[in-house]
Amino acid sequence: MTRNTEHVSEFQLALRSFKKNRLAVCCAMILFIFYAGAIFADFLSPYSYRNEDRNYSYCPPTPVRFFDEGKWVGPYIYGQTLTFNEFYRRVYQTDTTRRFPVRLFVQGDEYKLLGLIPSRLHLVGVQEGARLYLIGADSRGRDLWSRILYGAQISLSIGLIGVLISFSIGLIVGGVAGFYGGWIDNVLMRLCEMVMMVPGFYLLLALRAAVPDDFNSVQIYFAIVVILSFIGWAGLARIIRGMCLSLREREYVLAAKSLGLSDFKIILRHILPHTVSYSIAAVMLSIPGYILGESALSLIGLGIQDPYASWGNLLSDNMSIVRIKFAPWILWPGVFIFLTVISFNIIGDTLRDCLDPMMKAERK
Amino acid sequence: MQDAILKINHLTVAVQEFNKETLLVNDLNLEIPRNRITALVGSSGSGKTTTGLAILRLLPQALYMKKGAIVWEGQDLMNLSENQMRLMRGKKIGMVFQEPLNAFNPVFTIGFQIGEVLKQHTTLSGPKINDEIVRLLTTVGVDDPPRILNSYPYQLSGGLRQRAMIAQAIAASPSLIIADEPTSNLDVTLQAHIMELFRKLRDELKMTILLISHDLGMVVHLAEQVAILANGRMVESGETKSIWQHPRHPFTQQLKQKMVI
Amino acid sequence: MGRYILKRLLVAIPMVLGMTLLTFILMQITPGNFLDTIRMDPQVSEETIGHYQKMYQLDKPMFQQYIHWVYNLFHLEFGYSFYFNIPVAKVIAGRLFNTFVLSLASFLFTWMIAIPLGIWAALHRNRWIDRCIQFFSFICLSLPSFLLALVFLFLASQTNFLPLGGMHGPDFENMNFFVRSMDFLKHLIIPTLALSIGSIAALQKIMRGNMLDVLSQQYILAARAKGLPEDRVIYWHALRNAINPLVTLLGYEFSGLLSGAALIEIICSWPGLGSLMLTAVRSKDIYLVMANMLMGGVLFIIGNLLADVLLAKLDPRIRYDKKH
Repeated sequence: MTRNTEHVSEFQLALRSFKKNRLAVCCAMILFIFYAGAIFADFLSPYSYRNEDRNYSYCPPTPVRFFDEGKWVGPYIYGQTLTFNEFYRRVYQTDTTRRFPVRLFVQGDEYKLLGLIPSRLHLVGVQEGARLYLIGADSRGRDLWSRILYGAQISLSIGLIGVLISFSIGLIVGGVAGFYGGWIDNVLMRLCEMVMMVPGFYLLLALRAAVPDDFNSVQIYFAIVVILSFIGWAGLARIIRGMCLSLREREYVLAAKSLGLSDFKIILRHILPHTVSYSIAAVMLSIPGYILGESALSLIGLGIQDPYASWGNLLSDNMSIVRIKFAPWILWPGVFIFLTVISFNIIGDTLRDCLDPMMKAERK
Repeated sequence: MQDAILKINHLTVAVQEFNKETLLVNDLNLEIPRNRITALVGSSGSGKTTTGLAILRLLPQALYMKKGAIVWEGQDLMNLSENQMRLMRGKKIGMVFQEPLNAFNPVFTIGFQIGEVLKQHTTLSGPKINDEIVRLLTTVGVDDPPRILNSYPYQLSGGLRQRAMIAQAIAASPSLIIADEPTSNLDVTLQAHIMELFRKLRDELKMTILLISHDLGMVVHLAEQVAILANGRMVESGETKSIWQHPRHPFTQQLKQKMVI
Repeated sequence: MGRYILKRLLVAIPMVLGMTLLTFILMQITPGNFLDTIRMDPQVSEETIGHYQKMYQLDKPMFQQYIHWVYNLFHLEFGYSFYFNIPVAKVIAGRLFNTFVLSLASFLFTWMIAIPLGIWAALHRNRWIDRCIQFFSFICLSLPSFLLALVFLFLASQTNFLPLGGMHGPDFENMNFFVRSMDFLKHLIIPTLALSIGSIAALQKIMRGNMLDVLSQQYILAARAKGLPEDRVIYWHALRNAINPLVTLLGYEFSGLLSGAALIEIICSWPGLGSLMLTAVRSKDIYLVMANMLMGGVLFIIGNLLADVLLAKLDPRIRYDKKH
């Protein structure tokens, strides 16, 4: 009886056992939803991120009702008006005279789908005259839910781009250091240590200070990405260097060398592919660092500036104590940050666990 | 026929793996006569180490004794409470491990670790303990006991470490010593010395020794009685000389020719 | 041992200097310096600006300024703060204590809870209480500390139980010693908790892992075979080995002592080095920034060294290797 043996790489094997872990798959789906939400933020959100109305400052979430006097009428909301009570606190009076139905596929603020196609189509919305705040409004009356969706674009992408840059640098530095060893390794690792030696947050601040004040938002975005990459490459470089050092001694490398392959080809074709699987796990586990780094910067006002939204700067509203007490919905972006971070952590951990038994077996 | 210091009756040790019960020791019956050296010989995985651990009731958590009795001087050890069993360990039954480097705690000195046994099981205290340790080390053939006393395990050579381990095992004057592959990691000359030491323990200190090994050729000069284990079952047992000269079971023959390790 | 330390220090010093050079260059690269804000004020004359330039040596080339700074270091002169108008050393001294107290509190809290928790989890491995602890640990590990701080502040605002940031109550000066201490402690709670929870989760996991590793070793079996009571086996033989690797962590904790709390300080309005750094960076107060970074780097080196020395003392095997 003959058997069909497929040729599967380490990574594909790991992926298979990964799929069996339901929690990890669940997290992957969560992340997929978040990223999809970010890409289609314009369509999914009722309002543009800039759409403000100071008459609705810190408006609490609008309750969506379905029944009117016991009869099913479909989703609708009432209008709200801003008044101040005797303590000069905001109170919103509900106007029950007029119903505003919540409709799907409505025309709303203009935008460009995927940056190219102009459109005015939004998933949900209400007519003029009332505003739909699914989770509340911020100080300028902007819909927090919409801004969270737009914020996802920045917060989630910074993680990916930042880690891509760090990883590339780390791959080169780590690969060279691990492969050649000796004084090259020494020098490069001292360099890494020097970068890692600096207290992370301080370095973040200092680098941010080096950015000119008159940068516009796009430039600030890229500056932040560069800064975060600058801090992060050292850790990845060390991991890769460690792997390269151990792989270097493997027989197939010696064989390749004896065949006269150039060093570069050896690194590229024989060593790096084996680092891929473990690197991906390491990458997954470091993405949260970038997201948190950007959030921390934006939180204290040094990151993404108004009117653009990032989850970090949405949270900075919370820095005022009075606002926390009376507008707790401002904390929602934090929930999203948390879910994203924990999902990446679970995926990275699971991937690493799936790869471990294989690494152990290989070492024998 | 010497009376038995320890009787193992129908010992069966099992482990649950992947929802299947595997028997590591299967219905083992063995009598260990007093003041003799009994050898338990088999290849790796035959259950010999498991038997040794079962006697002391120190089986790893995943393993359990399914059936059987271990009778020590008329009393079934399986019926003792944990506290009572603990009183037996070290004091009545001592154990010598295969790799002394792993069996000694790396962060404490040899003297400290042997001293622990004395403090636990004897009434000695203070400087008398050190004196006793020196005496024990001398008994096992160590030159310069005071240096060894203050050394850490990794600082000693393999042979010295094994002697120190034996000194630790006999410190509280137990009646039975279980030696689990005591010389497997030593070279041949050292093996001979350690075997000599066991002979001394039997003849001069009147101890009983259960010698666990995979090397039939090595125990044949030392043990009066031998039991051969394969896959958890005892396949042959009796006087060492006759087994060596006329091995009946094919497995014993393989062991004799060192075809199996 | 002494030679080992000396060698490490010799390598470390150029690294620290390299780091400060990097910082200096960064601060210089940015267009504009502190004087720009003063220049914008029409009342300030050119003379005064020239005077400031001379005083702070801003007219000299960049490299010379740096050399001058390093030179002053050896005289323990850390430069002058533009923003606060007093020597940098004084500015830092004022805030150093606050950060130190916060870091120390969080460190003690973390270790006093995480170590016993880890040991306990290891001893009750895979029972439901262990699984609970691991589950919560994982969640806490993924919770960013600044988010925790915000949530705590929110809860505090709802319950009026704890103060909402800052270090003193409004009436601080008039309180007697006891009330003052209580007030200080109350303000310390939220930032400490926010800082500690993530660390507790991480440390507990490590402790549990180490403990489980050690408990599976032969010498634990041997100790039991000697007839030692279970307590002694666990808390003396096992723990002593399990804790060794954590000592290196101690060193790293020490290094992060001053900078780790920075973000939380800013959020909770705790007047420490973190908020100081933020102000310094915003106003391009060069020497203040450099001094802060220098301290961070020095503490890192000392912390690492401390960790190595402690480990060598505790684990005789390492001592032996180093000698040869």
